[in-house]
Amino acid sequence: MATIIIKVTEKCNSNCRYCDVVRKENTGKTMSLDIIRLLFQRTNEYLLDNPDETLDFLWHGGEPLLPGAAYYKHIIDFQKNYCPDTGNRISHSIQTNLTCFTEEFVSIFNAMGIKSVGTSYDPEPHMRGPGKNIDTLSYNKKFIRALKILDKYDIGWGMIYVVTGMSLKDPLGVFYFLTNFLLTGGVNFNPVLIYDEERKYLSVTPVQFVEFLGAIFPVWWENRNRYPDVEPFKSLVNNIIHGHRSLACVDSGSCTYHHINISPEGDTSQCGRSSDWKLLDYGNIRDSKISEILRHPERDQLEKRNRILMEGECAGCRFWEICHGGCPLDAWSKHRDFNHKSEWCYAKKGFIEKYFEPVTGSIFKP
Amino acid sequence: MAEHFLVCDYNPKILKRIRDRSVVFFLDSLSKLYDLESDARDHHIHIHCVIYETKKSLSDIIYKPEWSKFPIAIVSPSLGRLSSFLKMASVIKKLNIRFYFRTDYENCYRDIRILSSLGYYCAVIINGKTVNWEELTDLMTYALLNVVNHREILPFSYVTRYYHPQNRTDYGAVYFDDASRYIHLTGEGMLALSRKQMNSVNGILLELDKLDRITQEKAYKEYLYRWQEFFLEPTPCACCKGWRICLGKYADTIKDNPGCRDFFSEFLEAVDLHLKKRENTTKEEFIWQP
Ligand code: SF4
Ligand code: SF4
Ligand code: SF4
Repeated sequence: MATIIIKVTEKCNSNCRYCDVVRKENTGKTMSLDIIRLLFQRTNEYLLDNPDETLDFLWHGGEPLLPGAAYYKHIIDFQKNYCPDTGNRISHSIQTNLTCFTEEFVSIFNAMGIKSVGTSYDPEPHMRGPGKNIDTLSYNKKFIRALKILDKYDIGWGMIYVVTGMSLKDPLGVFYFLTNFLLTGGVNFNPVLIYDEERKYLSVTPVQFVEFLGAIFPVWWENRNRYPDVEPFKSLVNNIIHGHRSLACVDSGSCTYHHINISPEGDTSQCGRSSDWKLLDYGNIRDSKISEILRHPERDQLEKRNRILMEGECAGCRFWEICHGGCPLDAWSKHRDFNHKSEWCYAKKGFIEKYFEPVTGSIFKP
Repeated sequence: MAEHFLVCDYNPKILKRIRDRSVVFFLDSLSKLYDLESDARDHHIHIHCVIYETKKSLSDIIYKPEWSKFPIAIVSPSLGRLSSFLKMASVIKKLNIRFYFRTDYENCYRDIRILSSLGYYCAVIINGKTVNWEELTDLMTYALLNVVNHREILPFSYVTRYYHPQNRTDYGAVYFDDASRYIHLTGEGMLALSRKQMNSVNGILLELDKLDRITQEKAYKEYLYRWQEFFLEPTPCACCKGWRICLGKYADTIKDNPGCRDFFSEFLEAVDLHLKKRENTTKEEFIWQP
């Protein structure tokens, strides 16, 4: 299965402190319905040519609900009209801040088969929210209003929690906040990615990220029946203890031919960050078929990276199988070159060796 | 959803308006039990429980065998003289009765322990202002983990009965204060979703005729989601380990009487331990349950 990340709009109604979308120069574009129509035409063509393939559309932004319910009704019509025999091989997911989610979207999500939404939340005041002053309270009230609608219609949700410099003062407080709010967990801890000096105070180093996770992990491990869905812990347990390989793109070493990001203007790239950084340009959807985009020669450098790392910087690392040198863009951000291991290497290795293995008593053997 | 229980003072004037309902009645004297019984029969009212709050010690109450047909909650300041109480044991043992003690009385922990070990059902009413959290921790540990035989103590055993590790557990029902099960009725025939609402000047009150559709009422829906308000900011309750079984009940008194966090953290651990322990043991005998 390939994932198509559709950046429907660069607009966002929030001004989250750690986000790059609202700080970019060319913000404000929304994908035209013509491009979306073309995307479905191309999708149909691709799925007819590849009868064993499926595609996952991830609706992303900016804030993907901003274009409104009517916009998504067109999307549903496009799928019906242009993918009559292949629509059952398209799945949809969405990453939204939920603050403009209304009951109108419920039938749309149902039609798209979206049973759970991805979102984000942050207990820290003035971290997420609209306006210059980052009005957290108004943001949170809208968020909570949306949760009531989700609950009413039995739509699930999960959240990404971005670990920033502000999170470091009380990791367990953050953990309890999030798992009280969403009782089974449904939380994914990701380190903030900050590339400018102005917001340096928000950034965390790999060592700090490990210590953040390490402060939570023993409590989670002891009580994982209470909060089963906490990442990256749950995946590490599955991969290391149960031997079930299920890896996120950044760990899989196999994102190369499986990801497409489409900008509002139809430009394609590997994923959001590569598009923002004008890297890995796979051409415009107006000019290329999906199969061409997925096989674009620019991608080969990512595939080669695997070999280079395995024989070079990651040679002999016992975590190779579950890390593969991490995300190539994390290597690029530091070295301006993909052919290095991720600058978050220690976040993986250090956490497993310092916390995961001693606490669980399970040693990862490749 | 099961029908709600009504909670109200025993007031003959209101009975005809609550025909066919299940009701928890507050009585100011147990001698009124007989009037209540005949009134309830006349109006097809099912008595779910009778609450008698008294300033008398338990040992100063004269228990009657005829009370055995009523589920009774007695809220009393203390046990009083144990020897006097025990003289009435043969009657009391046959009653469907639970003794409630408020933490306003410093000996409540001791009295509950004595009564529970003698085989009486008890409950502690936790007032955030007056509770001694350490004593309460001891009592909770005794209630849930002590291997010596004793009767269940609420709200501890209530939490273990309804607890699911991945859910919120509200033990408000122990005090008939949980709008998903109990709705309060004023003497004027107005409905309130909690005792606090009923007693507050700006409390949300609804007409009695709304009772059958109360789950459709906006105020009701909002009340059930009021827990979300804790998450608008990083409040101490939202960041508290024990929140899923406390739900912020003592948020107003944390400053003056801290210790709730430690207590509920211990409580949560004890509940998990208790459930593991109970897996292979036989069930307790039950009297009326809130
Ligand atoms: S480049 Fe990195 S973030 Fe993008 S798909 Fe590959 S692993 Fe994932
Ligand atoms: S943990 Fe570090 S050295 Fe090992 S595979 Fe990952 S990036 Fe490479
Ligand atoms: S134990 Fe105290 S801090 Fe924790 S949820 Fe209850 S009232 Fe709030």
